[in-house]
Amino acid sequence: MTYFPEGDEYQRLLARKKTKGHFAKFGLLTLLILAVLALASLLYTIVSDSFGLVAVVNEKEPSQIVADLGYDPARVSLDSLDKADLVTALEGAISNNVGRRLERDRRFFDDRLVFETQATWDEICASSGAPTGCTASPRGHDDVLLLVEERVVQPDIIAAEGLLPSIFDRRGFEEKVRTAFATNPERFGDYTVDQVRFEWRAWLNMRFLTTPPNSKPELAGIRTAILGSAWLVVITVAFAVPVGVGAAIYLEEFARKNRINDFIQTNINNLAGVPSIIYGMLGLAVFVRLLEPLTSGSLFGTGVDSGRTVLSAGLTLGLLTLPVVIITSQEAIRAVPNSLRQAGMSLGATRWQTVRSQVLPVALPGILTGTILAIARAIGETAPLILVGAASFITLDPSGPFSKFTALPIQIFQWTALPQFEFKNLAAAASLALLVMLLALNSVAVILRNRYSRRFP
Amino acid sequence: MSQERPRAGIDLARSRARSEDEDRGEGGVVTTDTVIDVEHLDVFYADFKAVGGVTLGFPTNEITALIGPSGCGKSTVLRSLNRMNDLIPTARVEGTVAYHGRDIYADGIDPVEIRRRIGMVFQKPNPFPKSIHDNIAWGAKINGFRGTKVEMADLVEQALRSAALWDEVKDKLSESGLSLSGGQQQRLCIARAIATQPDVVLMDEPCSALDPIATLRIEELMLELKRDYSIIIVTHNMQQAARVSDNTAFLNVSMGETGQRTGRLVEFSPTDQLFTRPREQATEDYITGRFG
Amino acid sequence: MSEHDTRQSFDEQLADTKKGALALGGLVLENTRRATEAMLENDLDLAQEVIAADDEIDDRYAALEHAVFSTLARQQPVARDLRFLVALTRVLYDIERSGDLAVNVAKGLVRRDGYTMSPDIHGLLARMSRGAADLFAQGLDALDSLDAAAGRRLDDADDEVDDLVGELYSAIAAESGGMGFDLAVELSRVGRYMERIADHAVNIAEHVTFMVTGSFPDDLPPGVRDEA
Repeated sequence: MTYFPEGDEYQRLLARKKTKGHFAKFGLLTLLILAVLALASLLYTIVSDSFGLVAVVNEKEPSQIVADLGYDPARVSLDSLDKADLVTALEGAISNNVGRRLERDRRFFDDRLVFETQATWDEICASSGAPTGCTASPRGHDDVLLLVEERVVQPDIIAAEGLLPSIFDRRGFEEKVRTAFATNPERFGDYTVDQVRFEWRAWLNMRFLTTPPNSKPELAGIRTAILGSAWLVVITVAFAVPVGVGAAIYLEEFARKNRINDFIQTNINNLAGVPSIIYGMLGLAVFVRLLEPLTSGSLFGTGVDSGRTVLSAGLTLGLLTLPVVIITSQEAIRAVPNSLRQAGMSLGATRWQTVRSQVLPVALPGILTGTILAIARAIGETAPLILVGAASFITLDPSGPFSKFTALPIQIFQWTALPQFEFKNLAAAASLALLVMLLALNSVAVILRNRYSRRFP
Repeated sequence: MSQERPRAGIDLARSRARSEDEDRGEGGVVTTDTVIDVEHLDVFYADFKAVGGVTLGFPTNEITALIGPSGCGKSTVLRSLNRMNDLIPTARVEGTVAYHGRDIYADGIDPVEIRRRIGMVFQKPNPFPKSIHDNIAWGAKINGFRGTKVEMADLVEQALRSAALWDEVKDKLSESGLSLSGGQQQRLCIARAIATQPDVVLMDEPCSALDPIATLRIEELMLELKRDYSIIIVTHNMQQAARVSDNTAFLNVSMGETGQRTGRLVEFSPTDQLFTRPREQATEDYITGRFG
Repeated sequence: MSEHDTRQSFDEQLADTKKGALALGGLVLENTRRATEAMLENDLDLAQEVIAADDEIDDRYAALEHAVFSTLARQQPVARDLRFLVALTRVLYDIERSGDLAVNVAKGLVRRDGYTMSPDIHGLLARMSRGAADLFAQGLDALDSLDAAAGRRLDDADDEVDDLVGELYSAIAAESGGMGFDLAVELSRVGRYMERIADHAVNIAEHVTFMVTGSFPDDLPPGVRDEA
């Protein structure tokens, strides 16, 4: 008596099996496609808002400024003017008061004053409470250009369009704007439809990356945010990596299996899942308030008064990523085959010698990967940074660990909360920049890992 | 007239080379030189008694094999000889293991030093993921090798020659140890172990992961090595024990009162005796393949 | 050998080999008895049968030797199994030689076209031959039951046969004038053959002792191999 089907019956069974298999494969593929579509739509939204057509009205056209200075606007553009010309253009457009204020913040030239007399200047600089302009280096070309744009050109973007419509339906956009003018002119204040220029704008461009934020969206950039994020990464890594990897080595190689160590391990695992805002509260209480002398640097005599520095934020993020670094490092170390340790110890090596020379090199790729993934996470954290005091509007680059700071996610978050529609585009551009940074970091992780794992096949 | 009846055949009782006076009784070898003496060795893993009451002496410059069924504790005994059992958190040892007369489990004895003098080769070849040269040099360095680079290179060459590997790798010392074949890797591990100049080499089923040709080469190597080292080998391949060893210890699982399966020493005899005329029935049952 | 099933096919091989050896021994024993009877009854036809049976004995011997050799090569026997197989080759040799000796007796009878002998000698031959055959049977029994004590026992029993042979020689010497030189020589030869058969039987028993204990009954001085 046979337990299995034969002949035709078996063929039918075979066919059914295969069909089920195909369905399963197809279903899984569908799920994959769904996932890809979801991610692609996110990417599309960001990219779409970062590039496209804008309708802009300038208070004074750049070409006019160029012409007023005596150059041919067809051949010379605003940013190719030298600093002296730009200052001249600026002089003509702003009041003396404003000009003096700007000069006191930072001089325009090394060798001459523009809005002050030399006598007044010397007097001010000699007195107590001298303005920063007395000692700071003079403004550079780009700085003055920015001022000209801000105060002379005064561009005002009144409408923006997404990427694909901009490419394929330029006329539609122009029509939309003209119609809006026709039906609802009050919306645009003093402007007339003839003043509107239609230009292509890459919201994410070099200027965007190298300019500090500005209340006018047309002039805003993410330089301070990028530098802030960079400082955060450095401090986070400097704290979390040595401490985390060291702790992982101890836990895996030296700690005995007892209740205390189990307890520690469990808590580390749990801490990895604590919401980041809790870390923010911790950072606020400990680093910003309690350890203020340390984190503000007043201990070292820097004269900063508040603990809301990039050091506090870096340490907070370091704490945040610490559990993840520990866990991934532990796993990397655990993955090293025990035969290697036995070989090492059987030659008369101490535990540390074996770990240092045999285990760690093999675990290194895994540790690196885990570290970089942790950093990537840290770059995107917003909530703890808000609590720990990322400045809402800061234009000065962070000069050291004791500086006030902002970071990319914070900047993005703040911009999305502002009413002007242009900030939506800026937020998208900043998000794109953040994504590129993450991509770069992840690529570094993969390259490093490949390089090291090639050495230890 | 009657003729003398012709001699019927070999007499195993008389054919042994050694004299009858040498009594290799249960307590171990009495008169031959021993390098390690084990006395009443018990090994526990937490509450489980893996090995009980083992007493025997491992002769110097000879190859001693430990054979027995799975779970009889032969690897446990082997690992106790160089305190590798210390690496297992729940392991506990009672009794004495005397190396050149000194108990290695006494207070104040550093297992790190013991392992330098009693080397080990493992079942699956485990060379370091480093170059062939560094594989051997590392062991020397961590033991405080005082010498120039040239002297180190000599040490490496010597070790590789002793392991019968030199000719095959002399042109590729900077290549990874993992690029060698299984048999070569194992010989590299042997070279690595003897580079620290031990006088005992423990081998835990060194050929079980290798093909027959590689196995035979390593067996030949063992026979050469025993001139300078004492070798103790655990093997589940009885024919290998028969081919290679001078003395064989048979361990078996015995059921305790609590139902625990503890390994015990059943017989320790010269190999030729154990395989032709074992003293214990349990030994004969095992080596003839008729298990209980 | 044992009821464990870890080496069942090997055990079966060993059992079959032993059975084969015993069967061969049985044939030889049978042939020896018939040779004796042929000699005592002057039955030349029976003698011819004895001679003819030797072919089968030789064939079987060759097959058994081969089987043992093959088992040794393939099964890597040790200890008890090794002793059994190695000793069995010698036992087979002893059996085969005994077979040849029985045939020699028959051949002698045929050559002489029968023996005429005195009742004394007839009686001696009968007792001697039967004694040798019985001893041979005991040797086979020892193999069958793997009786380690049989070696010493048969060694003692062999003395009786030796004595009978001695008596035979004396009787022949006494009557040598009357029976003629050739017959005297033939009958002496028969005595020698039977003595050798008895020796082989003791050897078989001693091999059995070796199979079981790994050594021989103690009072054996090392001797020189001697071909019959």
